[in-house]
Amino acid sequence: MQGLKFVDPSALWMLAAGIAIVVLYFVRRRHRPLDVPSLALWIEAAVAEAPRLQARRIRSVLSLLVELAVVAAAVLALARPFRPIVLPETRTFAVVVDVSPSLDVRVGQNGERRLDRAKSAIRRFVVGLAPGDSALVLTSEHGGAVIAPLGTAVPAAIAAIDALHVSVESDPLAAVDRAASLVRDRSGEVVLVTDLASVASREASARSAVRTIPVVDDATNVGIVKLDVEGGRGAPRSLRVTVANFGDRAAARTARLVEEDRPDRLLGESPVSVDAGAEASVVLAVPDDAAGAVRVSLDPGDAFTADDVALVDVPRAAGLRILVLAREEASAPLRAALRSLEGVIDYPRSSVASPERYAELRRGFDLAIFDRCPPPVALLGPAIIVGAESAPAPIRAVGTIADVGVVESSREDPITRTLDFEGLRVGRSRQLDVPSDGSTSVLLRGGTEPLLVLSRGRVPFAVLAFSLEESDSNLWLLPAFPLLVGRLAEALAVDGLRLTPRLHPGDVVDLTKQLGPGHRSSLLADSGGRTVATLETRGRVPWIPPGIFRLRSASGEGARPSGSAVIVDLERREFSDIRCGRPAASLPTTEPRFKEGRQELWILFATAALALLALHWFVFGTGSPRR
Amino acid sequence: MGAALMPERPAADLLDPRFLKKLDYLNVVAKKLFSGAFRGERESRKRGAGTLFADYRRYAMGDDLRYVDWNVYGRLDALHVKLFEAEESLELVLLLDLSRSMDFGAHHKGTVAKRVAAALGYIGLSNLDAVRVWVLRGGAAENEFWAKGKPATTDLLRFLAPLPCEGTTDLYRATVPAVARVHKRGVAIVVSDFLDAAYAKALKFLLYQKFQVYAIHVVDRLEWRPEVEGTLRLVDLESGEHRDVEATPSLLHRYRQAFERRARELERFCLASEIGYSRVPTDVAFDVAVLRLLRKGGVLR
Repeated sequence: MQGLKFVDPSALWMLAAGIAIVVLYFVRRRHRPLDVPSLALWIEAAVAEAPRLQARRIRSVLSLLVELAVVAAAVLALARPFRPIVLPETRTFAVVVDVSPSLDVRVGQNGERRLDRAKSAIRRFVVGLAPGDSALVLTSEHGGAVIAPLGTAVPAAIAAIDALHVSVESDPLAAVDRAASLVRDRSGEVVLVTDLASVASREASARSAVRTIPVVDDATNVGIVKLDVEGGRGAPRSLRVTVANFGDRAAARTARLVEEDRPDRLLGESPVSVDAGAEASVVLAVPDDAAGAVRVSLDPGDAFTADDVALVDVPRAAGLRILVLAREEASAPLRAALRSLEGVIDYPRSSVASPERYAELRRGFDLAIFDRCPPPVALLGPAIIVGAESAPAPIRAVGTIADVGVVESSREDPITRTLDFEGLRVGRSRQLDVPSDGSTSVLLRGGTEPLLVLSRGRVPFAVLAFSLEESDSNLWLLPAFPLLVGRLAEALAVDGLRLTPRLHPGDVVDLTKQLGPGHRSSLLADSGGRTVATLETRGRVPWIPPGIFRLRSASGEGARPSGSAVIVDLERREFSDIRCGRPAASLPTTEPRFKEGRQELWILFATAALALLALHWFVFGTGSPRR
Repeated sequence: MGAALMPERPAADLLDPRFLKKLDYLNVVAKKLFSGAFRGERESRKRGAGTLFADYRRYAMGDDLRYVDWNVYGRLDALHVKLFEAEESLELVLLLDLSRSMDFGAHHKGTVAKRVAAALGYIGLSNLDAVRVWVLRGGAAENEFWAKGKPATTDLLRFLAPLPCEGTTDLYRATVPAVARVHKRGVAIVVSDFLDAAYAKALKFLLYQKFQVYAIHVVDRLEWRPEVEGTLRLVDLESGEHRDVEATPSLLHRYRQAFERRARELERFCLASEIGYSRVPTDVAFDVAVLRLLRKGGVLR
């Protein structure tokens, strides 16, 4: 019955009919007085009949129970019960490959052409299709020529992709239109792979509902590598944006700051010039009335736009207002964490009497913490739920917390961060499925194992490290505004982090593709009984290109694509605020999507009611067995 | 079922005048000869001034010469006087059970019992028997009625009509004092539902006291074949004790079996003890009950 909901809960009032049945039962059981001339003969008969009467009494009670069950099942059926479920959502892609002559240009040191890179990207995309997803591949030749029909036959599609060649008859615009018409009835997405060299390809890329995968020339890449928030919590706030030029020539960009929720409101902008292979910083002042997530973007200057956009949380000018809802005294770790949290200005304790009362309480607070009390259905914003008894349902995945991080996977808003791999340890990872609907919660136990969070789609997600002294204390975290929760998580995780990093021997994290030419990574050594994962790189890795991480075992089986990852420095007990978004340079995710569905159960209950009724009729007959 | 009691009939209703005429031709059967206290119409062991010739004896001084049989004198040359059987009244003792258990029935058992007693009493009075009525209740014999001669019929009916059904039943304890006050022996008729388990003791006591005993078993349809259902709290009319039962068809069947068994036991006991037995169902027409059942049971002829 867990997770059972009703379309018409008011019908449950009819369960009161059960009370009427019980009352009727006892009224029938009431002994009617009757005068008899002598009891002796009756007693004689009753003694002989005693065993039968006992059986009859049991039958009577059983009959009552069956009648109650019939009523309960019928009423439940009338209330239209259902169980919320998550259904896989399949998608259809139409991949348009620009085969204009510009893709014949060699861009790599080993003579690699742009078309080769495009083929490679398309192959990765096709291979990475989620179960149920389908794709058709077109070239821009002759206004859209289908080379791999719609379907999931991967080898055939790859063979067709390998046979691609450039053509002077390329018309990306017409090809995109044709692709859109081919998948329109399936609500499919159009993906354009192009080098954006021609006007037509740029126009096609600008079409709405077209996702572009640019074929990148590495030498021209400039991107944001670091964001630092300065000031805040009452002090003037500013944002230091560090921009790196990975190309071989100097570049000039303009950094713009907008609110994430209101992209049309420009908060500030500043030009920045970066020499080849160097970094430069620019400081953007944050207006007092801006708070929360802000977006920093560089004007497009290269085809690799993955690192041109970054998100960051800017603390409010005022203190953080936290509403703590608890039935009893807040738990000791929570109190300690809240004490250590700078900027918390108010956290009155209360309890959730009703959704309306909660809505009234929630007004004016930035965050709600449910400390061992069940939350209402609508959380009305960011919330943290502490304690197993507060556990919201359904539980989609259970993981073990390692450290703090915020994970976000977004095609539109990739965020990159500088990460120094030197000395970094990666613990054993555990996959955590997070659907994109934002309704999934994750059970985080105060435990010992690090967690690899694999998010799907755009799922703001925060992972808290929270080591509790109470062994039975759990921490529940709902998807919420990521950075805000992440900041709170940082505060919560200051003390008491107890981690014993372990990794299965032979586990491999292959970051080769993401690190690019000249950088190789291999993973993992076993340090005696305590298996510790280490990541080694050859050469300096200036930044992590967001992309597909693959975690696989030594045997090569069980390769799992992931959109993002949390990598934890266990040695230093630092949480890495790493958000690895999928860059525009990579293909759109084909991770399985899920949608809300409902499993209707009224037929089950109606059948049960009928079956019980038939059982009652068969066993006890139509008449009252109590007569 | 319930205690659906019929209202007790007034005195005039106990016996219909037309029915009384039918009773004029009946007589209570006395299989033995009893000596009565009064002259009557019954044979007696005594010799006396009756009309039926009994024997001769030698003439003795003082004998009435009118009784000398002169024919015998002529043949035997000796004076003999004729002896005649004395005709005396019969002592008819009616032991009427009017305990609370008789206050029951679709046709009130107590009323039927009183009507039976009235009929028997009327028959006795009509035949110049000495009719004595005892009401048995709660281990005592009460309300003795004694009369002789047909004119006392009205008194008998007036005596019986208002008698209520009350008290418990103890046939033996009630019979003993009643019999102790009867000096002549005769016919004892017990009218009861015989629900008292010690009925045999009482009937044997009457036999021991040299009575000719008749048992008239008054039964009602509702106690014979009760028509009840559901969960019931059965309350004993006499003791007030109760017991909760579920009146299932099976239980009712077993009750009927027990009732039949009890009735057959009573009948067999009476047969073995040479006690006349008649079962009088209350729902049988009263004239049928008296004219047919009692005659069939040998009580009347």
